[in-house]
Amino acid sequence: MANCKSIFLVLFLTLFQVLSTFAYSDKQLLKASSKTSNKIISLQDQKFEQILRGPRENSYILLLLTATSPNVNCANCLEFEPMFANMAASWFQDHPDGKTLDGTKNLFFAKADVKDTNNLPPIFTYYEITHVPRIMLFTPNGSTKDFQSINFDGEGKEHVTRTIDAVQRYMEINEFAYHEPIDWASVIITSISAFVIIFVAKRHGDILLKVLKMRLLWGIGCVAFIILMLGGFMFNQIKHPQLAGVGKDGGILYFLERETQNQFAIETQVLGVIYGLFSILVVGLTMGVPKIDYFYSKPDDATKVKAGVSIILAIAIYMVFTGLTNIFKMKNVGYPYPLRSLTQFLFH
Amino acid sequence: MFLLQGVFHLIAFVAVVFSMAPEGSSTLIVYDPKLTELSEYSKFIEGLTTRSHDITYLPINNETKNIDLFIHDNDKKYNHLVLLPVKGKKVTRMLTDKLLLRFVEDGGDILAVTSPITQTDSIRLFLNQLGIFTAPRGSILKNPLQGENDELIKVGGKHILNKYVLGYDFNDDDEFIFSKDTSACLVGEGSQLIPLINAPRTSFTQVKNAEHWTDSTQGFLSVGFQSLNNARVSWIGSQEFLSDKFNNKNGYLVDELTKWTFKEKSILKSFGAKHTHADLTTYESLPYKVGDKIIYEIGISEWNGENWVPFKTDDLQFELKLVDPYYRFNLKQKEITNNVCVYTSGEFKLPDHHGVFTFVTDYKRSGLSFIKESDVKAIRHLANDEYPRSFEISNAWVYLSGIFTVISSWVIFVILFLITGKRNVNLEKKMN
Amino acid sequence: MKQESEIVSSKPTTKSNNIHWCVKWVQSILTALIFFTIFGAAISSRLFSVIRFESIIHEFDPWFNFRATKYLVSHSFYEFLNWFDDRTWYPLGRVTGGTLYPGLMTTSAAVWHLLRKIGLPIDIRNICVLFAPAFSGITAWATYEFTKEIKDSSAGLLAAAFMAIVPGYISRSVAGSYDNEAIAITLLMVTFMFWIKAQKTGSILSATAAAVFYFYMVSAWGGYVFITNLIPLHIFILILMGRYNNRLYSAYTTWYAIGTLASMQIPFVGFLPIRSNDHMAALGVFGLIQIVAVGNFVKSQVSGKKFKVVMLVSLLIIFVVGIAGLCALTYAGFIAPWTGRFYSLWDTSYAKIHIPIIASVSEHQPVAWPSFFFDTHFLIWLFPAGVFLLFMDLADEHVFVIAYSVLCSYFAGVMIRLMLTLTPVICVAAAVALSKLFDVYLNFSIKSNSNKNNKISYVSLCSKVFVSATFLFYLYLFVYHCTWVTSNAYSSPSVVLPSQTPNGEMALIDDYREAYYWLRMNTAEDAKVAAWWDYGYQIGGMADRTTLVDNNTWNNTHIAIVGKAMASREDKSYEILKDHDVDYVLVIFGGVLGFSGDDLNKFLWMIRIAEGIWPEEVKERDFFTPQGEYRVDAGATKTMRESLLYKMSYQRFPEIYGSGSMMDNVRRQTISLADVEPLDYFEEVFTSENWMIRIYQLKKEDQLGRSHKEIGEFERSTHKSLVRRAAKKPDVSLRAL
Repeated sequence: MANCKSIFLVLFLTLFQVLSTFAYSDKQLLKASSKTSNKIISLQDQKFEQILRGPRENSYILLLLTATSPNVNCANCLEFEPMFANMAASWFQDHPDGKTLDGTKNLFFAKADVKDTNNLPPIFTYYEITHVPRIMLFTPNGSTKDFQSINFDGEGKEHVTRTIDAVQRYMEINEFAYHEPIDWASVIITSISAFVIIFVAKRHGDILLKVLKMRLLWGIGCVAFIILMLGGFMFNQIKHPQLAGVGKDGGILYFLERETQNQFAIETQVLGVIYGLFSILVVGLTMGVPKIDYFYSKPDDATKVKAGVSIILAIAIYMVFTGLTNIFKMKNVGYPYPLRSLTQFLFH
Repeated sequence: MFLLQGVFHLIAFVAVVFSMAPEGSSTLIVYDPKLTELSEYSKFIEGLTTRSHDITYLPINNETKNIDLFIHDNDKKYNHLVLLPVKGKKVTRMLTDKLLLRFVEDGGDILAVTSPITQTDSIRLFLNQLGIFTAPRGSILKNPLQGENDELIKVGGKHILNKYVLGYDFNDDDEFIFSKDTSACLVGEGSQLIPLINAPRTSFTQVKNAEHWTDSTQGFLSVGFQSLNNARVSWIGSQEFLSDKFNNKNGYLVDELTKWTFKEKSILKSFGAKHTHADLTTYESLPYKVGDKIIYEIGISEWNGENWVPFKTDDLQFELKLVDPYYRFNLKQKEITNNVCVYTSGEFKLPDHHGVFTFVTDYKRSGLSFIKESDVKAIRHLANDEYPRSFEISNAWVYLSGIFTVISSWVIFVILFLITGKRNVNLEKKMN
Repeated sequence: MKQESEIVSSKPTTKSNNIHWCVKWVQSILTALIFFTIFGAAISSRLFSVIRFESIIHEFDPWFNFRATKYLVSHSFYEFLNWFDDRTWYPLGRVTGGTLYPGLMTTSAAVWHLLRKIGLPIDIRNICVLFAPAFSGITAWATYEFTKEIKDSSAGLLAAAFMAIVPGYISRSVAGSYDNEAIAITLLMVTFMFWIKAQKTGSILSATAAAVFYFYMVSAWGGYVFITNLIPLHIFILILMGRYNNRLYSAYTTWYAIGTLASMQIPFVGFLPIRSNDHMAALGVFGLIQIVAVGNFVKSQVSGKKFKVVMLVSLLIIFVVGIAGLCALTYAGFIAPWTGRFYSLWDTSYAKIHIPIIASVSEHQPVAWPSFFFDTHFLIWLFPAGVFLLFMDLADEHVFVIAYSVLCSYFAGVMIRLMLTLTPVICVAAAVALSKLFDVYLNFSIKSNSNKNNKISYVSLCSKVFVSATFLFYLYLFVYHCTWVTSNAYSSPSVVLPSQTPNGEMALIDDYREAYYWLRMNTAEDAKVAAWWDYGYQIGGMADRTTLVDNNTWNNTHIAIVGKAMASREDKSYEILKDHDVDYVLVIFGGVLGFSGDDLNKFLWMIRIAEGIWPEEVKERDFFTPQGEYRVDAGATKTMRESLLYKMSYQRFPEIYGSGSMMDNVRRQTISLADVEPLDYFEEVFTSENWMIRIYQLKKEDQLGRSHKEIGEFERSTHKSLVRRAAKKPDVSLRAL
């Protein structure tokens, strides 16, 4: 009896094995991908083998192995994350069933993500992944080891275009279009402002001309532009760095430390505020303070107020400068001349 | 006139240099007393000695310790080497393939004779490196259709392949005899190989337990080789080909072959290429520039065994190269003297492209020694004041006249303006 | 301001006239003293490298300038002008005289001749090394004059002092940095100074001086295009603002006519001013100002409202027709479109896609903000404030400074090397801001009406002292910052690398010179050396050997040839190099030392540039593993391991310590003996002390006509295996009749 039982058990197990090792069909893949809201099949668990293993009828699977965990600190992963989601969305927008237009091939998207470094998804150990992000394209009638790696190089949007190029090349199709997510806010703002400008120009041309001739406006505009440039705005435009970093404890990092040739995009904003403050304070000192005279009838009061305001402004400049030098020291660790903050002065 | 004078000077100079023989002739003959009775080769050796070879004999036997081809591993001790068949592995150790290669690379000439019975490995490997693949040991060339009971291999005049090596004018009736123990070889396609004697059409070389080594005219009985530094190697597949026994038939061929191998004939020498401006100004005094008229000349002599004589040909080519050839044309014979034939390009115009050009004559003909004369010279662009002036170009007259019209009309305008202006002021003053 | 008020107050009596004279005298003495110290500071802070290392030319480009200067000193100017250099870009050669900016060389040659005339024969090398520091002093003076025109002489002195020691300028003008920029910034400031004077006064003399210095600038640096566009922009903005006047007309037309004609005399520039889009703005504004002048003249004769409309419409039409004409001419090919470098300033992704050779240069990268602070310290935040303060005055010359600031801050943001042109305007604007501030807070003159109340003025005095003191403290800090930056970042010759021994002592890595000297002493004088273009000028200058490509990257195809040779298999490379008569190949290898700027790290650029020309033969993809990694260890691709550069870099490397495997200190990967295949076609002839430079010689063509691969196989096989092979029928193509 015991024998019989064990045989039965073995039979059952093999049957189960056969069933579970049977590759996913196109329909099953479609089902799996429709389950998630962004149509990307999640391969976090052991099931990946079953999904990726061929032979399928004619489904390609584009797999992204990534690590969004803050501990990994993978800037590329974070940057590519929304792009990949949008790639999937673009594909399914044009091809609702994941089928190509001629109906001969399917393309599905899959993803595995290291969310916790202590608990790696099994797929990472299976493929012995040491570098992320990795993009692989699984061909229909291959095994789990049968895939094309797609180079992850370039910068910013190039990742997307290169990946799509590679996928199209391997699949021999030419219909994978990437649709930029429409930023409704910017569309609305643009159209409203365009409308307002045209309206104002039509109705109040002379006022517009006056505004255009306003020296102060131009001055502020130019200075703002200069400040933007000095803050490394063009660096962001060309190199597309990530917006901000993630600290070890998961907090936001505003500064890319120990890197003088590199920066987060957010640093431009911080620096813009700092330089703007400086400009206001210096202009206030040179032009604002002497003008205080006009507001006081008694010269004595004016002198007192002037003295007070100028000292306050000078201290404010010192404080902002302290901030700037210390931020710089974060970037350039060996910098020997950071200013001491006022509190340090007071306590020593 | 100047040109002629220049050439004569050169020729006089050449005559002095060329009056001596090409090379000294110390010759080493390596043989195996067990296989070779030197007395059977007296005519062959006599041929060498009459041509003033200083022969050293080196019998290989048990006492032979080593074979010195070089003095203190530096300079070669002999200019020429005759390798008769030798038995035993000892030779392979003493006369390694690498040593032989070095000897040739150093400019030494080798006449290698193979007997199918004893094949020395090192010599075989050496020949392999040149592209001569002799049949393995014991494989004898057979020609069963030649006639019954006649095991000697005989070849007719049409099997003699290279006129520069073995001479001209052979009839089909001429017969050359190889012994019954003849080895044939296969020859690679290298351009430095010179097939000399072809195997008979009906012959083949049988190899034990394998396909035929050679079939029909694929096989060669004698092959020459010339290295880029003009060292010569020749190989014969039969020892008895040289022997006194067949000397009445083969004697002429043997003499020609040894003469060629030991650089006593078909040696070319250039007395230096020279290029100048068309008016004979040298490059050194006036560097070339784009579009200059140039003359290129080269003189070539041939050693006929006794004298330097002019070498006449019509396929001598000159190239002007900047990575790829810009010009390539045949040189014409211009001047023939007792010693030398001077070739000239005639006057030609340098290309309209500045750069560092190479002036090359590379004459490589199978059987003749190689000549390569190359000279690298810069051809500069036009200097700022070497372009034609604007007024020399008729097309520019339109623009020139335009410029001067504008200038003069402006001057006139200013004058008129000043004059009329004054009047206005006066008028106004008057009116006020 | 202060001086002026005193001058005004001291008018009435003769006694005060005397005092006035006295004050003036003291002032000029003080000014002279200040200038003397500024010169001293400017020059001495640039001498770190000479003191720390030696009097040596730095970097790469300066080596060419130095070589050209030596040529000029030993030949006539005519020969220099028509110099055909057959020792670079072999075998094409370079029309060097016609493709360089001769300003730098002629200036230093003139200095050399002058010093000899007055009995001071100084080695030309020392003149070249100390050229930039000397000119930085003149730059400071020109900045002073310029700022004086913008505000007053106190602002001028501040600007001059800033200019003298600001690191953004020092970065390109330390001793030994004998580059075009060393003289160009001086000329830039002088030209601007004369231009401001000219547009202020309408003086033809000043405008001519501006044009002459513009010509000098054109002869010295390709960046002259910046002036060519900035001055017309200034005029254009002024016209738009309705500030046209006859002074502008005479200044601009004089400058443009003389400057353009003069600039066309430089062979390298030639007809560009009328044929390239870079220069079209100047031409357009020249036309515009004629129209505006005519319009103005007509307006003064026939007044009327309708005229304004006619004027406006005709201007618009002319503008549209002009632009359309320009486009048409460009399209038809009569006018050259913007040069690649210029174009990449506007379309920032252009270079990366179309011109890898421009993108590959680190100077052409965008700037992150720390560089701005690093190069200018507290001037960076005075700068926007200064621009704003100028807006409040907005005289004609202020428009110039504002346009300069806005334009150049954009350029500097896009390309790090243009930081250099931004620096002067930062100094000027910051000096204006600071001097305005000091005008308020360093003014301790007590007004007569406040005499009654000393208490109040005491408060006022205190606050003034406090504010001034903080800013004086910043100035003090600025000096420290500048000194620190200069000594740490900008004083390494990059030919000699400083390092530290394990004991902490300073040591010099002198591999470059060791290798170049080896080349000089051990190779034939006409030997041709193939190396990546970065080292072309140094090989030409230090080793005096012919090179295939160099830092004057005029022929992309030729550079691609070297890239292809480096990226191809040995036999193919040998063929390519032999075709170009190359004798030696030089590679830079940092794996032992951990020097990250080596050839293997630049390899991708070589491959990309070669791929641009031969996409079928060189493919970037083949050099990456299927996982997309750039690997050099056992995981490297076959193409990678067979490439010439790989073999040359790692030849003998794994056996340095006899262990058969070795860690590459740059790429942090372990190379083992099995990864490095033998070199058959090349022979190692030299490896420098720290393995940084390795030189290989091409083996001679085999006398016996075998390929080197065959020879290599023959030498490596055993006698037995050869005999065994000889027993079989040969596996080669045979001759048959």
